[in-house]
Amino acid sequence: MENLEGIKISKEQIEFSQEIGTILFAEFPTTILYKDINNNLIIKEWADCSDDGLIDRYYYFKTDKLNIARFLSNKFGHIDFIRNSIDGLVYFQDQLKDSVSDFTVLSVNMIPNSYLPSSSFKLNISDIVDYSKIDDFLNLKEIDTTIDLDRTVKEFAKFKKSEIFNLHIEKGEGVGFGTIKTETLGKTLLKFENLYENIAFDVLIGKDRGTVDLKRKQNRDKFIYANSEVVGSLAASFSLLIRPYQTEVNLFDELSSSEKIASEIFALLNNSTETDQLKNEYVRHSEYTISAFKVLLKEIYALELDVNITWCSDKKEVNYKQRINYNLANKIATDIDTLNTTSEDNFKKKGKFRAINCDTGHFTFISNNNEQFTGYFDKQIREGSEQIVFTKIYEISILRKVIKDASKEDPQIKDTVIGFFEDK
Amino acid sequence: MELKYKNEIQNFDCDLSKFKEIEREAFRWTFDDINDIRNFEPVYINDPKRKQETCVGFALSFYETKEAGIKKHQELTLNRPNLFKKLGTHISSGNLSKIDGIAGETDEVKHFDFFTYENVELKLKFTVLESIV
Repeated sequence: MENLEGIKISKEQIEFSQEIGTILFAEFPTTILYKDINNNLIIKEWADCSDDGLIDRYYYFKTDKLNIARFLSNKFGHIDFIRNSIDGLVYFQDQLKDSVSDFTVLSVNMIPNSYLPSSSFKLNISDIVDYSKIDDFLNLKEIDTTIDLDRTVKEFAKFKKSEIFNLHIEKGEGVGFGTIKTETLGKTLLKFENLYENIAFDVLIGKDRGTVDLKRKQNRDKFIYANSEVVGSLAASFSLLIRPYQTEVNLFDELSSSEKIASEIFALLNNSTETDQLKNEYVRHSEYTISAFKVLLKEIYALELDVNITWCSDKKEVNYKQRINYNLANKIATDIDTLNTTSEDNFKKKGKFRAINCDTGHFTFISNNNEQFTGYFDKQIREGSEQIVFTKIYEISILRKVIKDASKEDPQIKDTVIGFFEDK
Repeated sequence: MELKYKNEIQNFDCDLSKFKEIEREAFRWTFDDINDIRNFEPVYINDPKRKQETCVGFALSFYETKEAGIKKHQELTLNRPNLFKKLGTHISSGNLSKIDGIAGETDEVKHFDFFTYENVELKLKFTVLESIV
């Protein structure tokens, strides 16, 4: 058994008055609900035993009706149930037949991993041993297990006197009730901030702005309105509360800078779910914004997230929202790719060849007015390229394909020589 | 033939009408050594601290297939990693016959309860197949 280091308290500190029922398992009771003499609801968890099986180790934690109802209705997992102990503590006790040790008190965060359920454990209702007994005692159907997140966030916005984005990561790799894997949070947050910044630049200086280097001090000061900051989190599964770092209010403008940024963010999010709307929406944003959006979508897809993004204001009744799960993220990213455009042009130039690779067919051609063209010979005329003399003048026909990726600023140009003859 | 824990079983309101003598191969969690005393004793005997609420606490658990037994063991230890110390570390198989006891109906996870008759030594009929932890 693990060596536990915590505060020792007398075994008389918790006295049970009633065993309400076993939650898990019929094969061996590991999770049992009790009531203590002060009417607190207590969960007894079996954790371990000595190798000979004679000494059993249990831990107890205080809970309430709502947490039990949420656990039994799969609103949150077993590990979240334990971590949401009312006082944040667990009370360990070893038991040998009828004799019990004093309690060792630990923070819920200090429970050894081998004493915790796996985060991938899913409770099956059929596994709950004494569901009807527990239901009779707690009247589970009467307990509202829903979490009114929108109202909580609105109250938070009023308390903070600011607008609030709620990045509610409901499902995904390492996402629990009130917990999230650092890597998942970090990746998602950085991609969201990148989208926020790029949309802010579009709003503040226009979509034909070019690149903005925020590492330069003068830009940092100038574009302070393009930043956001994290101001809180909620357990539900994991909700991250973000607000604009600063906002600019213009007396003659109905919307502040941050309200315009939020409006544009949700215009992009809301209008990208349908392919037809996306075509109209994406031309309203710079390539940098579309690229940042695509990167965020790819992260949601890679981490298999289900994210509900909302925005509310402390002053106005306007609310924005958009849910994106990894399936929708994949669809939007694919739709953005279909917005790539390809155009073709056919033209002739006179000049000299500078370089030719006869094996690959790659060429470099300098025209009479010093324009440089690079590309490949068409397969059908590649054989003849061996006869080309670099000192002679040629007229070449070029087929130019211009491919414009929706999320890239510069188009990709592919030149192919489809004919050439010596200009005598 | 008498059930092994007939006196204890009589303390409960226990409907044994659906329990029948059977002949079939069955699978059970055991410890590495087939002679381990815990292998073929019911949970109420192995764990006297356990609250006794039903007669099936004096029955043994079996599975119809090896796969069903392993799957259930994995589900339980996913919730509680050390639980193998109580449940067993291996899966064993053997042939139950009509002289060994009576079996209940098989449930949806291919599990059934089995009351042994007096003086039956199941450890002589079972073989440890493989480790499941």
